Amino acid sequence: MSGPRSAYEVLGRSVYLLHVDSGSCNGCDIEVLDALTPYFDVERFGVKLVASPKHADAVIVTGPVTRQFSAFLKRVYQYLPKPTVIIACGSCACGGGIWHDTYSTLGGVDKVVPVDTYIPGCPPRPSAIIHGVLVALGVLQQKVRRVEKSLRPSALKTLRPPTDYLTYKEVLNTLKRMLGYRLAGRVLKNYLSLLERGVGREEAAREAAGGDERVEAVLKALKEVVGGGGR
Amino acid sequence: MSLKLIVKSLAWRRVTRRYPYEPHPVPEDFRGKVEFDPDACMGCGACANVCPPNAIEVIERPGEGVRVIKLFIGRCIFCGRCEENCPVAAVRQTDEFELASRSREDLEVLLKHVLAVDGEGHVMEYTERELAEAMELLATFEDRELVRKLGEYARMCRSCRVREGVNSIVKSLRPGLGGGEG
Repeated sequence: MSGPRSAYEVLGRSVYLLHVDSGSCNGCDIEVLDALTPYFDVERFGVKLVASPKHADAVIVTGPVTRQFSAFLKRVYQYLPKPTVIIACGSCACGGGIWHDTYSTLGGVDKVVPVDTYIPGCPPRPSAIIHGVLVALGVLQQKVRRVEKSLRPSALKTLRPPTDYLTYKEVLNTLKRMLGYRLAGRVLKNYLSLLERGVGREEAAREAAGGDERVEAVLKALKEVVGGGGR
Repeated sequence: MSLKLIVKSLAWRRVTRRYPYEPHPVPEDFRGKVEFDPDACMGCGACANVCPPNAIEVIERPGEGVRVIKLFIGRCIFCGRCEENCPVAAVRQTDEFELASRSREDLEVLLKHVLAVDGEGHVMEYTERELAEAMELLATFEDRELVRKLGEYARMCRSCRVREGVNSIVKSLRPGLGGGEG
């Protein structure tokens, strides 16, 4: 059902949606359910869950399609009145996810039935599911585009650690172990740029921590490690 | 009973999000779409090594002299291991979550890196950018002689490096014999 017209214009009424679980971990199923609750309320767009493929205008499939289920998915597809819209919801349904090469799954809905819209996410948030369903029904435009870049070697921004590399790595690993990688990266960047501007170690630790006593304590404990690095 | 419910619901504020009409903010540290910094990525493939679902793949094409880092967002489980393990902090997870796409191709990200070529025109097993990054880091080391020697080896292709290594061992064992084609 591609083209400029939305599914509502083609059907002239609301869209009935069938949810098929092809062996998912229930993460995506719960998010689909969440999209139906009053908080997100996909029924605002007339999208209503039905229990039989014979009543459905569109199907949302979750799960990597287990070998056992693949025949049933084909049968569901045969029962659907055409034209129909198949939505693959979640990483497993889109490309097999973590199970893409196991013996017991086929790794993706598009190995069995044609897919109209992919919704990546593990699981996708309810708002991502609403967005995906509306993209599938032709109401919204998709946002992602294929990226293909040839990188010029000369454009490289090399990593210039402020101290020598091994010290920098040691500091980063200690911080990652104590704070987790996200907080560590952010804090270390602030901390090092403060040190570079000539702020004292104690002061830099206090400022980079931003009021978080835990981070401040960790940075102060680092003092010896950074101290060996020369800067 | 039901009247009570109606009165209660009238007093209650609206809970439904107006989502597609207004943005739905993500929490702090949300792990969304993976993005590469094209200026910082050196094509080492550390992200591909740690990717649990192999959403990031390294495709070697020595014939064309390129290495392709390919990300298929449709298989990504947004775990953040690529961001955690990138040695040059070129991978970042953004706040973007509206990734629905009508075709598989739109979910692909391809970065083509140029493979380094040594003095004799042999294509090497690492990229130009990896070499540049390694040279940058080597320069921070103290031992100048070691840096010079390592730099020399790094600019050779694998077979040249083996030949050079064998030659230098032979030379150290039997001075006067080394230097031949080996």
